[in-house]
Amino acid sequence: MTHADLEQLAAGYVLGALEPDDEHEFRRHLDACLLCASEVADLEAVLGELAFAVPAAAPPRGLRATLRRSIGFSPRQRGLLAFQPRLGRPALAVAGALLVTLVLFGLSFANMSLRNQSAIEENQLAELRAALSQLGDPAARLLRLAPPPGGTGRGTVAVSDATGKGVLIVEGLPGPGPGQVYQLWAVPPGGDPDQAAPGRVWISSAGVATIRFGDLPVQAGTTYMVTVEPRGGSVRPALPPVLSVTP
Amino acid sequence: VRLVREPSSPRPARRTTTSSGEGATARVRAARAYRALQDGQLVALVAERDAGALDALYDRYGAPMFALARRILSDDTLAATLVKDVFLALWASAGRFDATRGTVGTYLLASTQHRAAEAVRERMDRRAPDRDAAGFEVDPRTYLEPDLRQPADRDLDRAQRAARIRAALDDLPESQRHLLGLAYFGGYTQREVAALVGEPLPAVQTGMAAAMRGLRDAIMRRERARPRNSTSR
Repeated sequence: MTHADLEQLAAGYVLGALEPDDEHEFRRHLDACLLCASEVADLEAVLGELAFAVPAAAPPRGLRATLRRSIGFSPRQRGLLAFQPRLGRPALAVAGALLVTLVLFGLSFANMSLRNQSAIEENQLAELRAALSQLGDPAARLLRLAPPPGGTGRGTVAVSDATGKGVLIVEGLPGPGPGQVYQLWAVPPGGDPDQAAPGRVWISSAGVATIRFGDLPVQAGTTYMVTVEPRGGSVRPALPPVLSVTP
Repeated sequence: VRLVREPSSPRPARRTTTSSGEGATARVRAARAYRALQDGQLVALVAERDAGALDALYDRYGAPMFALARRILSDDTLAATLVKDVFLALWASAGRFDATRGTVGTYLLASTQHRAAEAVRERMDRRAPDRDAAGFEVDPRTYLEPDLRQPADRDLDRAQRAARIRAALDDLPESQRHLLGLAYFGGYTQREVAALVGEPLPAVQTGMAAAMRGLRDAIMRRERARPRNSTSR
């Protein structure tokens, strides 16, 4: 088949309407033809839009609940934006004991706890929104930073390819210790932490902190980590990090 | 101004609030925060096993996915199962999602169409392996007619996209729209379509290609004419 013949198959390929032999031949051609790859990408977007031509139909009420159950989602679990750690079995036992204690102290205590949790969540969300706004790019990429096993704290990096800016939002670190600071690092693509570029330092561990990147690189493939360093910061990171991008 | 379906407001605060009331308020706040994120950000969070982000994508695409699957399969239960499976596939593979090859919305809706078309093919093969044009039970031109049992779409973004694609479909020649309907909503392969409409296969291939390109060009024309303050994901 000529290129013109194969190009005519792009629509059928996107629609999933090719016969197996035609599909096989078109796939092979697609791997080597940038023109057809571009055509397929365009037509796939059209395919997505075609779905909106179908008159609206509300999904059954139980579908969301079924989906949530399938992935182990509970209404209390709100992932990144709630900054809630996943609990292991020992932690669950402790949580159970804590729950009994809460019951003994009565509903008012429980309400206070929930109010605090809600306030913390609001702070984190406000920081995330502010960070995206500061970057001037609502489509900024988000990366999650987590501690090593047994560690505490969490972080979210938001980086903008469009503006070249980035910020780290960090929460729950225990404090760097006397004479020490936290320091942000950019690990180049390839993942060698010894080659990491040094970023800003900070001390505060209270509440949520937002650390601007300054000159730190933001290109795709760069990852980020936080270490504890001597006051004033370092040019080489002291490993292992207290927070790093989750694999 | 963007009109989206807001979750019900929390009840006015009482002197002593209940724990469930606090939890509901926090849930509403979290849902609003996710809603502020774009699709690409949500899928990045899904890759991090963030169930709330998947929930937010369900809010965005669950209804059009279900509507599409229901139209193709003509079965609410099968359609709901299919939509769940597509989301579970995203949950399992979001880390490998390549945003440079298309948006997550396109991925979800295209996956829904492909799976539903595949299911229809299997069902038809079981029911009538030797079917011919007489086995064609549903006129695909009726697929786009409003279903009066369903409420009108109250989401402005979805309503605008629906109006745009319907107008683009209206611009197509009737014959091209017919070919597209058979493949997209009927799940027929190009060879089956050729047999159904009594045209040679190359003519069907050319017609479908022209239809899809015609839609693409019409969408782009309307996108360029869209007011600047309109948002898109």
